[in-house]
Amino acid sequence: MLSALLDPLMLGFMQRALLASALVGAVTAVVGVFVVLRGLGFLGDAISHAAFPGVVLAFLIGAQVTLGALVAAVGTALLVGWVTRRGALRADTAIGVIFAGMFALGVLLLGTVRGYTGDLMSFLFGNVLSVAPADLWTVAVLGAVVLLVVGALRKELTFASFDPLGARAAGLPVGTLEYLLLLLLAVTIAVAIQVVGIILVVAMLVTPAAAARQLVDRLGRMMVVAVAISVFSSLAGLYLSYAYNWASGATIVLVQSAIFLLSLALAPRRAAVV
Amino acid sequence: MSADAAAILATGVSAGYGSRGVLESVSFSIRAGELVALVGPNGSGKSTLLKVLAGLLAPVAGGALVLGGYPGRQPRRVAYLPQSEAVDWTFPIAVLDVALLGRVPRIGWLRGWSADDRRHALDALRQVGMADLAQRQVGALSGGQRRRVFLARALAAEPDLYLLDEPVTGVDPTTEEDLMRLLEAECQRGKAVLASTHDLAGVVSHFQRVLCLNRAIVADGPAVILRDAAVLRATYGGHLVEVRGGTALLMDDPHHTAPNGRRHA
Repeated sequence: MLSALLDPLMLGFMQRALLASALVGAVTAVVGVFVVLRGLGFLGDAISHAAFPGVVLAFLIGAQVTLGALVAAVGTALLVGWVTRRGALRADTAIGVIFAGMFALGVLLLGTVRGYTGDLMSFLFGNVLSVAPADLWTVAVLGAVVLLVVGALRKELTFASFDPLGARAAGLPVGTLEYLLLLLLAVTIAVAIQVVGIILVVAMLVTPAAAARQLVDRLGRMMVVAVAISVFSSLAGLYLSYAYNWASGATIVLVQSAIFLLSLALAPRRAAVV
Repeated sequence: MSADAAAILATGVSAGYGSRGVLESVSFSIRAGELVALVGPNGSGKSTLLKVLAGLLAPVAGGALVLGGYPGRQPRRVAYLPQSEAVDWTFPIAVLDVALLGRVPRIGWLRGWSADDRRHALDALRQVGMADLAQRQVGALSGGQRRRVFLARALAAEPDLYLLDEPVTGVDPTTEEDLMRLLEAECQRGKAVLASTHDLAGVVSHFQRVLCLNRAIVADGPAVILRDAAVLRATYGGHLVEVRGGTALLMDDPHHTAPNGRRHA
C-alpha cells in the first residue's frame, strides 16, 4: 500500500504532474466558487474552447501551451464582456457566437500542419504527465496571482455578486469588478488546460465548488471545502491513472464527479431557496 | 449638516431605461431630519427615482443634488436599500456578514472588518430584532426578515440619508411599528429618510410627509393628504383607493388586497 503511494513519487514526471494538478485544483476550486455562484459555467466552458487557437499557435511556434491559452482566453473573456455590455444580445448568444468561431479557428490552424493530429488529443484532453519544469513555474506564478487577487478583493467580489445594485450604491466599481472576474476566470482556465485539456476544464471549475455548496452555506467555508475536494481529486485521480493506465485528466474529473454525487447524498436537507 | 440644508434637491429629473421614459420632470426637495414616504402604483417610477438619487441611473434631463453633491459621489453618507428582486438570495452569506457589508464604504479596499465594524453590524441587527439569527444563511429567512436584515445593513452604514426601496414590504405589522420607530429616531438625529411603500395606512400613521408619484409628482404634502380622494385618484389613476380612519383600501385587484390594505406581491 505504502509503496503504491511512494513509488510514483520517485519519478520526476510524476512529481511534476502531482504538483501541477494539485496547484491547478486549488486555483480552479477558488475561482470555481464564483463561477458556480454567478452561474458562469457556460462562459467558463466557452472560454476554454476559445483558447484552442492560442494553444495550437503556441504549439506550432514552440511556446508554452499555457501562455498561448492565456492570450486567447483573456482576449475572449474581454471580448465577451464588451459584446454583452454594449450589444442588445443575451450573454449566452454572444458567448456562443464567439467561442464557436474561436474553436473553429483552432481547428483550421491545426489542419494547416500535417502530422500533428496525434497531439490533438492532448490539447483537447490534457496531458499533465508531460508537464515540464518551466510549465510548472508558469502554473505556480499565475495560480498565485489569481489566489492573491481573489483573497484581496474577497469582500468586494462578495458584495458585487450578492447585491450588485447595493454594491454600486456603496461606491464599488461593479462593472470593473465584473471584468476582473472574467480576467481571473480566463487566467485560471489557461492554467488548467495543461492538466485536463480544453474539454474538461469546465469540470474543474464547477464540480468541486458545486459539491462544496451542497455541504456548507458560507462563502469562506465553501472555498475551503472546494479546494480540499479539488486537490484530493487531482491527487487521487493521478494515482489511479498511474496505477491503471487511465487517461489522467479524465480520471481526475471522474473522481470529482463521484465526490459530487456523494455530496448530493450527504447534503443536509435545506428549505428550497428562492 | 445644518438642520435646514437640503438632503435632496431634485430639479426636473427625467429618467428611464433605454427609449422607455419613466420619470418626467420630477422636482422636489427633502430637508435633513425629514421622514418622507414615496407612494404610487407599480411602474410609477418609485424605484427609478431612488436609483437616480443613489447614483445608479443617470437622468436624461434635469438633475439632482444629494447631500449637496452629485448622486453617487458620497457613498459613505448615503445608504441605499434595493428591492428584494435585485438580490441573489441563494448566495452563501450569513446575516451578520450582510449587515457588515454596510461598512464597506467606510473601510475601503484591501482591509477586513475591524472590531468596531462588527460592533456596529451586531448593534444594527439588534435594533431590527435579528441579532438572534446573525449566523443564519440569509436565503433561509422569510421575506420580512430579509427586509429587516437589509435595513440593519443600512443602519450599520451610519449614513446621513436613507434611500429605501420598499423597506417594510412583507414585514408583519408589529415589526413594521418597530422599524418605523427606528427610522423616526434616525430622523430626530438629523438624518433624512426617503422610503417607497405600498402601505398607505402605514404612511398616514408613521410618516411626516408623502410624495405621490405617477411618473411625475402628483402630490407632495403632509401624510394625511392620502385621506383625500382626489389625491389618491390622481396618484393611482382609475384604481379606486380609499384611506378611511387610517386604513387604506387598494381595490384595483381584490384577490391581492388583504383586509388591512397591505398588498401582497
